[in-house]
Amino acid sequence: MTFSETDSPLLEVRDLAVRFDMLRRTIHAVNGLSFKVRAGETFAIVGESGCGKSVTALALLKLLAMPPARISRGSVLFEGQDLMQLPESKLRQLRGPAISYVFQEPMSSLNPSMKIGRQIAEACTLHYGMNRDEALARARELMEMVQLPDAEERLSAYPHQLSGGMRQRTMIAIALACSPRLLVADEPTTALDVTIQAQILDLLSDLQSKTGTGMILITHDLAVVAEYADRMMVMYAGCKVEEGPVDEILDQPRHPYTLGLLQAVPRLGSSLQEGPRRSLEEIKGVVPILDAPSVGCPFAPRCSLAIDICRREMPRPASYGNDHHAACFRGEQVGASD
Amino acid sequence: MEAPTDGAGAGFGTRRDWALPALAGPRAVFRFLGLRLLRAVAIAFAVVTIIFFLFSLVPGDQAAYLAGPGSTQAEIDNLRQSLGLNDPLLVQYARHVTGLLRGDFGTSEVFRSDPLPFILDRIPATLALTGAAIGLTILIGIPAGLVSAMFHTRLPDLTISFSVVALLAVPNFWLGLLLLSLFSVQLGWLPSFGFSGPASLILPSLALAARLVALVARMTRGVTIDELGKDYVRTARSKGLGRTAILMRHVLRNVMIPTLTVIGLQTGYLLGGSVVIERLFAWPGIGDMMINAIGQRDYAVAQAVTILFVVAFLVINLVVELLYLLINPRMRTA
Ligand SMILES: Nc1ncnc2c1ncn2[C@@H]1O[C@H](COP(=O)(O)OP(=O)(O)O)[C@@H](O)[C@H]1O
Ligand SMILES: [Mg+2]
Repeated sequence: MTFSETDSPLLEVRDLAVRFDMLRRTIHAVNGLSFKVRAGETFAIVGESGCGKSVTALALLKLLAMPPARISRGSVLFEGQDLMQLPESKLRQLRGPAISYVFQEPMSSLNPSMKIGRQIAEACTLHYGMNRDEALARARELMEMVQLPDAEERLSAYPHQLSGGMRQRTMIAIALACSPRLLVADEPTTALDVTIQAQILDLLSDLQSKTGTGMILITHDLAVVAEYADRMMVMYAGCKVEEGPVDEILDQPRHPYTLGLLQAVPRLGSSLQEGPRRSLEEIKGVVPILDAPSVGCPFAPRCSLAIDICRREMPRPASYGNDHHAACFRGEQVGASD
Repeated sequence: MEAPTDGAGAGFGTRRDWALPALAGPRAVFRFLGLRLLRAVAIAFAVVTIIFFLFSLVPGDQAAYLAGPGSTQAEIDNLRQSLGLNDPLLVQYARHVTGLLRGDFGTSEVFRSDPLPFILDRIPATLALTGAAIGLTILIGIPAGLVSAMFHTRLPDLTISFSVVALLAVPNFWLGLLLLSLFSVQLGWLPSFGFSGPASLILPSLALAARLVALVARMTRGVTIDELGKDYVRTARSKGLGRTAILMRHVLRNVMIPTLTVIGLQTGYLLGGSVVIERLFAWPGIGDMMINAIGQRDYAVAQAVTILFVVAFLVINLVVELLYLLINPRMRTA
């Protein structure tokens, strides 16, 4: 898919910051994050676990439990409207038809004591004012869309009667019920068997190209990004460290952290048997505790390229052409020794 | 945060084997229930045995007591002989058990006959009292717990939680006395004793239910708070549902499954509590009858009522287990 630079974005997040007020400390989960998602594109958010991907996703429609969460600054423009300024009642109208979610854990994300037909139909009743029969007919249609076999029978099944893959298909049907303009898939396959993962991702990208919905695909798997995403953003400690077209970033990362992530996966296309885990380079060190906003670059303590200025000052995003940015003082040197 | 089984009282928290039939089809469920039935019969038998030997240990001469103060030794001896009290204990025990199997509860010395009709006569009053107490528990306890959870750590929650602790700290006979002196004696709003229309049911059922209301409110609160933190609630929010809709359509169902089960299991304990309450309010139920019987050393009646209580307890538990299987979708198979 191609997009012109002038396309007005479907979603624009500006300087978003999310805090968790805990008893004795405040966790700075997201720190001044900005990014754009265009209509119809797949935008990947990548980063180690705990770097703030889910918090970012949930903050878009204020789905975080507040308190303890607090959106301390920033705006989320969806089709030009700032969601952070909207009252809860308005946000509720947008949840489903505007932005909808597929969560990581299909089992716990479904209500164990409600038939899946009703769980799928529910949003249609709510947003389209459909009656029971209309909504169930729509649920049947959605179940066929997500290729759930025996839709008629499954309508009255409970989640525990389905396999993991079928549960995630159910979640996708729920998310698509009101034809959202933006679908947020938060690690949709992490909890699934490897054999099912590709099926679910293929289904998602297939449905996306049919419906033209935009998608935020959250994952820590760069192979998935390479295959399914148009553009990507790499997060570290609640900050964006790099953003740009997938091909460009995977080909020439401009942030040492992105490079580290790339070196930590087996070469794309190579099989796991020829290169066991120890041949992969792990990123040394641990993800920082997010007790305080970092002064310099948050990655500096783990970075082999770090110099004095990295620890003193937060790097500003530098441009590498064609919409590719990296927040690193030494972006030019990244991967230079390879 | 409380565990869901907190406040459930004896018997529930330890029932890990409840999940047993989850994996299997109806056959396993039937086998499970069959085993439960067998177990209930075994417990009933054991209880009958224990009660018999306990009653035989009660000090004092039953014959002398029954014969009355002015009787001669010869009269007492005769009575003892005719009651079979001179037979060896094991012979008396065998007679007792075979009698029970025929539905023969012995002879009440007070009624001078089979006590069963007299007992059956009093059962409706006890049923009305426990039924009303259960009704109060469901109508007050569950909504109080839900409100508490919705307003977690805010004023309504603090008020309800305080009341729960207060109610749990007060023994129910004392609460009964307080209610009596306030509403009957001082204000004169409600009848103070006996069974005279629905109004007379209010005070005793309140006194009987108080503890269970508190337990159920606390448990409902804990379970609801737990459920509200679960992932499916986030999914419901992401569909655009509001707080109340999420509570009523999604959370309530999952809260009711353990809560109703606990209320069911606690019904047996209510029966025990009803003995004291019936006494206090001179309520014409079998609990009151049992205390009278003990006072009059009418062992046949006391034993019969005790056995009745135990059987009722076991039957209730069995029925609750069955209902639990029915209301929990995890127990149903495709
Ligand atoms: N409910 C919460 N309470 C406190 N801290 C939280 C909560 N949810 C997330 N966090 C913190 O926010 C940070 C980002 O979490 P998250 O967005 O879930 O990471 P991930 O990138 O793996 O999705 C983590 O460090 C975590 O400690
Ligand atoms: Mg996450």
